Amino acid sequence: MNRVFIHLALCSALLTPVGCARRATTADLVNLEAPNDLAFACVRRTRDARRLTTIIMEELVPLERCNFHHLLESDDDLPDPDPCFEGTDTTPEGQVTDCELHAVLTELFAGTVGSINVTQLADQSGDLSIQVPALTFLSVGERPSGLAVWDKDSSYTWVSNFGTRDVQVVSTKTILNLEDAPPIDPFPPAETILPVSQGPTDLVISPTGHFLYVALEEAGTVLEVAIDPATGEFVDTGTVLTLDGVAAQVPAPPIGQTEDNDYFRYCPPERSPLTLAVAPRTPIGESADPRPVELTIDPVDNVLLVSDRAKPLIHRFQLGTDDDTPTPATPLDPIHVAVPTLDIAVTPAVPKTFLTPSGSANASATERYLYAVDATDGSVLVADYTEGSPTFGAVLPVGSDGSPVDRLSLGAGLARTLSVLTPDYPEDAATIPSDSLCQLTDNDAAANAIPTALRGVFLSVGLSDGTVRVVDIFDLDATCRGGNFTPGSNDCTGAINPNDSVVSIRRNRPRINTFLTQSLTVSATPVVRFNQTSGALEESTGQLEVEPAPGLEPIECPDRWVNLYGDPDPLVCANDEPWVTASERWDSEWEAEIPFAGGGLGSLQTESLSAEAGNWLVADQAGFCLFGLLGGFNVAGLAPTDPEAGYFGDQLVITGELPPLTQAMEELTPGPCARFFDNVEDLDDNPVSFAILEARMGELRLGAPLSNGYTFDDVMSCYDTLVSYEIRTRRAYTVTGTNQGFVHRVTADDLADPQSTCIIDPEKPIETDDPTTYLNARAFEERPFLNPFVSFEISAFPETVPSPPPLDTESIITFTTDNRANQLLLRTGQLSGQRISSLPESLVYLPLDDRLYLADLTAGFTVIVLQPFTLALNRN
Amino acid sequence: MGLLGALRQAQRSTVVGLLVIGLWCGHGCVRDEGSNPPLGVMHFPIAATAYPPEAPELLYVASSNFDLLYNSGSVQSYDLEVLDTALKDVCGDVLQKTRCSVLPAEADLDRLRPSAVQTVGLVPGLQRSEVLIGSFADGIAITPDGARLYLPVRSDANLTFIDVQPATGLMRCSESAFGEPQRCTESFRSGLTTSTREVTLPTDPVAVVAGSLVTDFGLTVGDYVLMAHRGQSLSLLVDRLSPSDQRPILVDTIDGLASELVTVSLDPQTHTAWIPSALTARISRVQVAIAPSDNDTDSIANALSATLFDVGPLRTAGVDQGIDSREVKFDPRGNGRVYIVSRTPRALLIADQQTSDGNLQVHNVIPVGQGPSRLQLAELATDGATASRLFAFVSCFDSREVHIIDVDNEQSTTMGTGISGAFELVIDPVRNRLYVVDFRTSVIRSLDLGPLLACLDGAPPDPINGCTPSLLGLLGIPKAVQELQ
Repeated sequence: MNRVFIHLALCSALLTPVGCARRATTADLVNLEAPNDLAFACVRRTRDARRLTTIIMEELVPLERCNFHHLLESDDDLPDPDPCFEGTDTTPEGQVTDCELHAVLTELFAGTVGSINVTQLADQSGDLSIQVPALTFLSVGERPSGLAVWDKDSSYTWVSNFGTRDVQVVSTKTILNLEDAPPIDPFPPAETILPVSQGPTDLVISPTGHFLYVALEEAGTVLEVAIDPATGEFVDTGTVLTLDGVAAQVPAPPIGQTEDNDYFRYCPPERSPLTLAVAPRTPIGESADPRPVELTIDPVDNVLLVSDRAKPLIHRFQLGTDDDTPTPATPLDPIHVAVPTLDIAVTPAVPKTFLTPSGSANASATERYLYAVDATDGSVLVADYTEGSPTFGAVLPVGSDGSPVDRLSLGAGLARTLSVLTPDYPEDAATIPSDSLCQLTDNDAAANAIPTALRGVFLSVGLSDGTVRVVDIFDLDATCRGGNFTPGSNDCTGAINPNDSVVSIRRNRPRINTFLTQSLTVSATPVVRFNQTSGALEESTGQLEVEPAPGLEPIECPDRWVNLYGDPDPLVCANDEPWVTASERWDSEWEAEIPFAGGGLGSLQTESLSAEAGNWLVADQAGFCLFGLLGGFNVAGLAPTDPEAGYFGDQLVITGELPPLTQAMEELTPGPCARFFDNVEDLDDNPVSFAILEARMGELRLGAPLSNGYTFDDVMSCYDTLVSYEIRTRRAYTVTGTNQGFVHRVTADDLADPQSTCIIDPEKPIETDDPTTYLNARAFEERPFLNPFVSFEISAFPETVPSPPPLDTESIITFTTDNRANQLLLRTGQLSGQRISSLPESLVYLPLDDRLYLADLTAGFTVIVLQPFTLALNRN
Repeated sequence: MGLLGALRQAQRSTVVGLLVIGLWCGHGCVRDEGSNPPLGVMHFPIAATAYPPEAPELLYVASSNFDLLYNSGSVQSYDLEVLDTALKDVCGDVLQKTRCSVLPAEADLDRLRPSAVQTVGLVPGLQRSEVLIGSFADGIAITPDGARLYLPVRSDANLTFIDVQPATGLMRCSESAFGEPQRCTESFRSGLTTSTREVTLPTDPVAVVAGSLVTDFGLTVGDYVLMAHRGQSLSLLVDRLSPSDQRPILVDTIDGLASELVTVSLDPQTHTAWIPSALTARISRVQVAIAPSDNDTDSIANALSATLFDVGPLRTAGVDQGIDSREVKFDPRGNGRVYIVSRTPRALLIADQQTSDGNLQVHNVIPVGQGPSRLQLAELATDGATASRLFAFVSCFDSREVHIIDVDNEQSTTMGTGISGAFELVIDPVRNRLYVVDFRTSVIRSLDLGPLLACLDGAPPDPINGCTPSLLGLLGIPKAVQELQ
C-alpha cells in the first residue's frame, strides 16, 4: 500500500521523461503513419443502386475522367457532360456508375504505399487486410521518397525508396485493392525492382509516360529510366543525366515596380504599392558538387526542373512531347538563383498587370514565375520565368516586412512544399477572356468575390509552423474588389461589400484574409511613464497634460505611410503596406537594455584578446555585434543621414554580485569592494557602468565610468573573476517591438572572430527615400525616429531635468500598432476543434476538382477546398 | 435527515474510513522494508552511460524501479566485451533475436521465470558490479576519468554519487568494499555539502551532466555537475577539488527557468547549458561562469565562486507547436549547430546555437516516430573510412523505434523497429554497437550498426533488412509491465 501511495505521489511527474505522457497518445485504429507523397488515380465503379456497397464492376480509367467540374456548373448553364461516361454505354437500370478519385500515398516510416478513396471518404477499399485493425497498405522499400502514377494510364505506380536504394513498380490495382487486382506478392519479382546507386530522393514520370526521372542526391545525378507504361516494365537500367550545365551570372532583377509593370489592386485610390529594388545576392555553393534533391515538371513547356541542395542552380532538361516515340531529355541552361534550393513550383502564363473587368490590351497572359524554397533558410524566392524575358531567372524583390527583400514574407516557418493553384483559371490561355473575370454587374459573382475564395492563380506554401499559406499571383475576382476600376483613375467606389474599402492585392504578396475598412490603427492611446508620473498622450499636442514629461512631437509621415495617431498633425506614422507593419507593442525606453546582449562570462581586463592595452570587457563567445552593439568608435565616419551618426556609444552595466569569496571577506573586514555590496539593488538607480568606446564580436573597449565613486581598476579588482553584465543604450531611447525586437544593421567582417569590430553593414545603406532601409533602434530627443515600420519623434526632457539626465531617470513611451490585414492561412492540424501538431510535407493541387491535397507527416492526409479556402477533411 | 445532513454523514464516513486506512497503512507498510531487487536484473532501466566514451569497455545502467515493486532502484556495470562475445555465442544461431537473452551468472533464474521460448545464457563476468540506490533515478553521468557516477534520484530529492574503479567497473557507495553488493548509504544518497554561499538544493532532480573543470573550464583540479530540477531550477556542484573531498559541493542554483525541465546539456565551448521543457516552447539557457586558473589555490577558489547566469530562453519558433522538447545535443565538430528532439512536432530540429532575437533559428525539421525521447550523436565512417558523417539516433518511445538521421544531409536514413520501450541510447563506436535501454521490458537491446556502416561504405542495402541495424540479442529477460503490486 505504501508503495502504491508513493507511486501515486510521483507518478504524474515521472510519466513525462519516460514518454508515457500526460498528454495521452491517441491510438487511432484507422491511421496513416507519416504520409509523405501523393499521386492520384481514377476508378470507374458500377454499384448496385439498391445496395451501394455492392460493387458490380470497377476499372482504372485515365485521371481526366475524374473531372468533377461538371458538378460545379450553375443551374443557369447547361451542365457539361460527365467525362466519366465518355465512350461508354449507358449504365443498366438498377446500377449506378461513377468515377471515384483515389489518392495514392506513401508512408515514410512504414515503407508502404496505399490509397484513400477521396470521393467515397468512408470507403475502406484501400485497406488491404481487414484482419488487421488499421489501414493495411502495400509494403514497398524502406523510406519511400517519391511516387509516380501516369495520369493517362494509371495501371502502374512507381515508388522510389531512399533506404533500399531502388525504384519499384507495383500494380495500382493492388494498391487500390480492386477486385481484379494481382495478388500481393511478399517477394516481388526482381524485374519489378530497379536498384540504383544511391538513395533516390525524388521521382517523377514524364508527361508522355515513357520515362521516369529519379533524383540521386548523393550521386549528384538524375537518372532517366525508360519504362513501358502499358506493362510497367523498366525498359533499361537508366541513363545518367549529369548536372554540369553552366549558368549565366545571376541576372539582375528588374528595378522597382510601377503600375505599368506590376500587378496590384489597391484601394482607396490614394494608396499605392511600395517600390522595391534588390541587388542579386552573392552566390552560395557555386563550386560545390551538385546534389539534386527534388524534381518538378513544368507542364507548359515540358521541362524537367531539378533543385539542387548544394549548388545555386536550378537545372533544366527539355523533355520529349511525342506520345508515340520516346525522346530522351536534353539539357537546357540552368537558372542561377544564387542559393541552393529544395522544392520548386512554376505558374502558367499570367497577365502582366491588373485587368479591368472587360479585359484590355493587357489581357495577354505573358508572364511566368518560378518559386523555390531556399535550402539555406527555408524561405521562398520568386524568379522571373518568362521565356525570352531579358531578366529570365532574376530573383525578384517581393518581401517587405523587414525580412530579406528578395524573399516572400511568410512568417517564421520554414517552407517545405510548394504548389501553384489555378482554380477557374483558363487553361492554356494566351489571353484572359473577360467572362472569366469577376464582373461587378453580376451581383452573385461580385458577392462571391471574398478574400477567402480563390479564383485565379495562387501559390500555396506548406510551412513547418503547421500552416498552408496563400500568395497572390493573379486573382480573377480582383476586378470585383474595392469597387469600380478604370485604368488611370483607380476608382474604388461602388464595392458590393461596403466593408471592402481597403484592398491590398499584389502579385507575390501573401493574400489578405478579410475585408477591411481600415488596415492599421493604434489599439490604444500612446502612454508615457516618466519617473513617478504616467498617463496618456494628448492627441492634439502629443504631451502629457498633468505634468511636464517627454512626449511626442508632430512629424511628417513618409510617403505612402499613414498617420496612426495625432490630430491634426501626425504624432505616430506607420508603413501602410499590409505586409510590413505587424500588430505589436513598441516601447521606447530611456537608456534601456539591449535585448539578449547581456551575459555571465565577462572578464574585466587591461588587455584585449590581442594584447591591446586599455580597459576591456572580454567575453569571447558573446557575439556582441549580432545584438546591435555600438561604441562611439563604431559609428565614427557615418554619413549625417545615418540614424546612428554622432552616437555616443552604448554602455556596459555590471549586474552581478561581488564574487562569493570577495563578498565573504568584505563582510568580515569591509574594504574597497564594500561599495559594490548593493550593486544588484542599485541597478536601476545607480548602476556600475562604463561607456563603450568600441564594440567587437567578443570584447568591448571601455571608457570612463558613468558615475562617480569608482574607477575601472576598482571594479576590476573587486570583480576579479567572471562577471555578469548587460548592455544599455546611452543618452538614447531603446526602441523595441514585441515582434521585431531591437532592429539594427550591425554586423562584423568576421562573425566568428571575437576581435572583429562591429560595423554598420555596408550592404544595408540608408536610402533617404526608402524607410525600409532605416534599420535602427535608438531614438534621440527631438530627432525624428524612423524604422521600416513606425515613425515618431520624442520631445525633449522637461527643463527641470539636468543634461545629461541623471542615471535613475525613467522615461518610457509605449504604443501598440494593430494590423488587421492578416495573411490567409490554414492550420492543417486543426479540424473540428481538435488541434494536433502538423508538419506539411507534400502539397498537390488537382485541377480536376480544384482542390488542394496535403500529405502531412504528423497530421495525416488533408483535403483543402479553395472556395472558400477551408480544411475539408483530415485523415490521420 | 435532509440532503445536506446526508452529505455530512457521508463525508464523516469517508473521513473515518480514510483514517482507518491511513492507520492501517502506517502500521502495516512502514515496517515492511520490501524486497531487494534480484541481483543481476534491471527493473525499468531509465538511464545508461558508457566508459570510456570514445572506446567503451563498461556500461553503467540505472534502473528506476518505476512501479515500486522493489524497495530500491539499482545501478549495474556491465563488461561490454563480455556482452558482445556472449551475444555471439548464445544468440548467434537463434533466428529470432528478441527471444535470446544473456544474463549475469549471478542472476536468479528461478525468480525471473523466463518464457519457455526464450533462449537464456548465464554469463560469468558479464556484470561487474551492482549497487542499490533510491527509486526513481532519472539520469546518470560519469566523470571524465570514470571514477564517480552521479544520479538524480527523485525519491531522495537529491544527488546520489557512486565511487567507481574505472578499470574494473567495481562500484562503492557505502562503507563496504568496491564490488560488494551494497545499498548506497545516506552520505552517498544525500551527501551534498554546501559552500559558504547561502544556496539550497531545489527538489525534484530530473537530469544530470558531469564534466571536468580542467578540460572544460581551464582549472587545474576538479569536476563539475549540473543538475536540472523539474520545477524550473538548475544546480551547479563542484566535486573532487582536493583528495580529501568526499562529497560534491553545491555552489549555485538558479530558478525561474522554464517549467517541466527534462534533460540538461552543456556546450563546453560557450559554457552554456541548454535545458528543454516538456511543457513550453522555451529552451532555457544558463551560462556557467567559472574563471580559469593555472594554480590549484585559485582553481579551488574560482570553482567555489562559480555562478550560474540565465542568458534567457530560446523560443522554438517556426514549428507547430514547439511546446515539448526532450533533449538537446551540440554538434561535436564545433560548428555552432544544435540538435533538438521535439515532440510537437515529432521531429529532430536542426538549429543554430547563435541567435540575436531570442528565437531558435531552426534550419530544418526532420520527422521521426511517435514519442521521441532521447538523442545521441555519432560520427560514422563512410567511403571506406576516408570520411565520416554525423548521425543522430533518436529513440521514439511510443512508436517503439530508433530513428537514424544523417544530419549533414538532413535526411532520415533508416530506423530500428519493434523496440518496445526505446528510451536511453548508448553508442559503442569501437564495436559498432547501439545499446538501447528498453524501459518497458527492462532489457538492453544490442544492435549491430554493421548494415548501416556497410551501406555508408557503398555496399548495396541488404535485400531484406536494408541498411537497418540488426538486433544481436538482449541483455536481460524481457518482462511485461505488470499491475502495481
